[in-house]
Amino acid sequence: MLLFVLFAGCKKEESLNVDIPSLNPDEPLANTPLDHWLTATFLDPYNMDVIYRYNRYAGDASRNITPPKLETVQPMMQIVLDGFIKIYERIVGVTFAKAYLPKEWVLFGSYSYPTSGSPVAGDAAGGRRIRLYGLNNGDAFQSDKIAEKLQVVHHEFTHILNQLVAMPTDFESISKKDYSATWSTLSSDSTHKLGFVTSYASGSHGEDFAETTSYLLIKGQPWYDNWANTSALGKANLIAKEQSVIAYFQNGFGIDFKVLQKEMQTYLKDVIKVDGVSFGYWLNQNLYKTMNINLEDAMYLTYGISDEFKKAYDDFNTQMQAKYTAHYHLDYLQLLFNSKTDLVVRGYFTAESGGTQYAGDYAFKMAVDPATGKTTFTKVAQPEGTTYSNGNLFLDAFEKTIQPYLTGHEFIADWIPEEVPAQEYTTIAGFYVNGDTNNKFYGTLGH
Amino acid sequence: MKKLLVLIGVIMVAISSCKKAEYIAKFDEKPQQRAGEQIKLVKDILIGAKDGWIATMTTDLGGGYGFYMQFDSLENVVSVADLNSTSQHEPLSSMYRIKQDMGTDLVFDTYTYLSMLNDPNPDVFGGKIRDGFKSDIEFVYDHSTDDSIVFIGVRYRNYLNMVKATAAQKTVYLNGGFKDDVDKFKKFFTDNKNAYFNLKIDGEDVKVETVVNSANSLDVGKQVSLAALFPDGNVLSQSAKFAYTLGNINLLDSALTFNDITFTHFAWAEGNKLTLYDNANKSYVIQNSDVPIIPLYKLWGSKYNEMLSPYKQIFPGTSQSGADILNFFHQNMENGYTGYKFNSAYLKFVWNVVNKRLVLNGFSSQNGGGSGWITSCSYDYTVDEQGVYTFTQHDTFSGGYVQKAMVKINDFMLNNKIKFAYYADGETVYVQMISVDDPTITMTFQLS
Repeated sequence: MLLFVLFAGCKKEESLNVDIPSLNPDEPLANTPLDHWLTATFLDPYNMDVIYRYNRYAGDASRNITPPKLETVQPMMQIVLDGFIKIYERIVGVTFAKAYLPKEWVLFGSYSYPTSGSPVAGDAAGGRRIRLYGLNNGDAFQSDKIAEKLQVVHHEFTHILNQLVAMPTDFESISKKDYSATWSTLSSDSTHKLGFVTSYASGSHGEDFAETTSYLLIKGQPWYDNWANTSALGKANLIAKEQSVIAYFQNGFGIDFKVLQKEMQTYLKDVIKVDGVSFGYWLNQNLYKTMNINLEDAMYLTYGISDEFKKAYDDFNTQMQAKYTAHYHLDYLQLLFNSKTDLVVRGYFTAESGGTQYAGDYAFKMAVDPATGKTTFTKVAQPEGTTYSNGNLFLDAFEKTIQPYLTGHEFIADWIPEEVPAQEYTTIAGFYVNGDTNNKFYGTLGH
Repeated sequence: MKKLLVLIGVIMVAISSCKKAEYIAKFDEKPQQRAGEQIKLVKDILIGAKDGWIATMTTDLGGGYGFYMQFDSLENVVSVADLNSTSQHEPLSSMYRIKQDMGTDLVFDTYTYLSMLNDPNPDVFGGKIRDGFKSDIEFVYDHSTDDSIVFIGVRYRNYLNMVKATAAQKTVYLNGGFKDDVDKFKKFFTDNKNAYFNLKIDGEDVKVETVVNSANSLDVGKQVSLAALFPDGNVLSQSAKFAYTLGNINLLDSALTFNDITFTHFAWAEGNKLTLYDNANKSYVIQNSDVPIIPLYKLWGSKYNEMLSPYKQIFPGTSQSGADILNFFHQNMENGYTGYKFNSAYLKFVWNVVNKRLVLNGFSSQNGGGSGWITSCSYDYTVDEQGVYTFTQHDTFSGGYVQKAMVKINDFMLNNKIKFAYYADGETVYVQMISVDDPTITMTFQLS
């Protein structure tokens, strides 16, 4: 009875009628063209708020962080839109994008300086807010800095995904013994040896997963493969982590990670023009050792081949067959990238009756501009040696067919054909004539 | 037991009946109404000045700064500032807003000249890493009068004082005329290296050395300092932060009190004479002397206390042999010569005039100067009538890790008679340490 009386006393008599605007909320006027663009591009379609006008409570209140210059806001958010939001939207659909992508974007002009350590370019809070710093820096819109910011965005978003679908437990066990709370004292070299993409990744499996994912997306597969191949002890771990990330995206969200990666890489290469994601860059790093071109391969039926190259290839084959009674057949061409400047074009050929496959070599110099991919080939004197002697047997044919094709054009090295499936992106590449993308040759890359 | 339960029940009913009948406001309006009115008040005052505002402000780590600002109802503010030649010359549009926080706040919420003093990146305007000049971009409203409004920085508590501008002033500010105005002041002090004014003290004219440091450096930049050698041999030195505003050099905060006179500003008097005014509007015409008003060595311990050689900085006025001595310290930090590797360091002399001693500190750091170790030694000295010093070792090296790199500077101090002179480079005045025995050995240090 007493209890009843007590509860009855708690009854709410009437609803509160509060006029929210009269409470002076901190809402800047938003009626500039920039504000209209932000509203139409982010708020209306995605319910995302872009906070660019300084708000101490949206940053770290204990630090001096300056607001952005007005003219930096739209370019930065355009990058977020094209390099993050639209990419997920295309791949997983608009519902996913609206439901899960971060809801608050906070922009600052200076970096955020912690009391010790390096200035921060970006961070995230609460699974819904991403903060990007340093927009006022003179180099803020250089391609490498843009890539750095997008890496932060993808890193933080991976954490958000991990809150929706738990990280795979197998990932946790890969480097379990090597995680260290004192990661900040470790050099990139030492954590590379252990199989981490960065020192930061060696802090915990959660950060490792986000770093691995974002590096695969931003730095790209060639970088990742190279990183793995140059870590004798950590290679197996890096490969295992990559596989775990791919499985996580597939099983958790139905996302083909390779498709996501190709979208991201294509954007960085073609729009942002990031050094380090292009074929030209990796040719200059001499990452790839071979490129195999066999026009009888089914690949060329699917993606086609340009007439001019096909003619050179076929003519070489025809003249080769006509030269000796054994009727040697050109099995395939192989480019051997012996260094970033030394190229050997090798023809593999076999007699009509079968038997031994021979290799005939032709020596070239190659010059690749890593930024633009511009490539020129120059024939040089044939050195001594068996394969060169073999090459000399058909030198006159070569000099009339393949050689003038290679030396007669300026090429652009690129990941072509563009339509290769994401699974094969960066495993196939080639060269097209500068100014004529239809005049090209390409092949399968080997390490 | 039952009685106890009933008793508890009764008590609970009694407590629950202590409900407050209604909220009795201490003020006649609700908090949000009062805050809303305050926001409107501040905004109306700011945009109500049709010709804008002339503002001045001091910073914690640097000097003072002057601005012109015009606010509009769409939260835009156009600024001109005395920071550098661009900011003096080119009006910059940015945004502001007024909001309720721990008071009514004025926030300069996109980047403008004022933000440069807040910037944690030293490359922007020479502030200290992380802190900038320790200056705010958010200010809480304090009070206003018919023609002025005063704010206080939210974090560093420095005043932002604004006074309404006239239409004529606005025209000059917005058309690039402010730069010429500042340049005219600067030129005066460049042309008149030994500026002073006369002050009657005990019936005698005393020359008061007048230094206007227009550099934007921390510690001593944007400051006016006055110094005089009194007939009794004592030296008085005082300084204050200043800001340029159109036609004036304003001494900020509580102005500059020197020998019980409070000086407020410099301005051009009739006949284009630069004049200093006190708070009674009495004027003191600035003149120039052919020789320094007070020999530098007389100012040790009063105006100047330290001589600094920052990491790897060799200032103009340092001879090759002098640079060799300083570089022996600076260039032997990173390479492990001392037995350890450092990435930041400095040499600093500290005067202890009372005990006739000079302390030499060699600081070294492995985290860019954030923290580190100090190796010290000290000297006793005698000084003659010409200001020539003779140093003898008082304490030998102790502490820290860089004694090995300090050997050359220590040898120099002990083996040379030394004199000190001003050395001016642009807007910055340094001290030059000169060997009397071998005048080709000179080293220039920052004064503070």
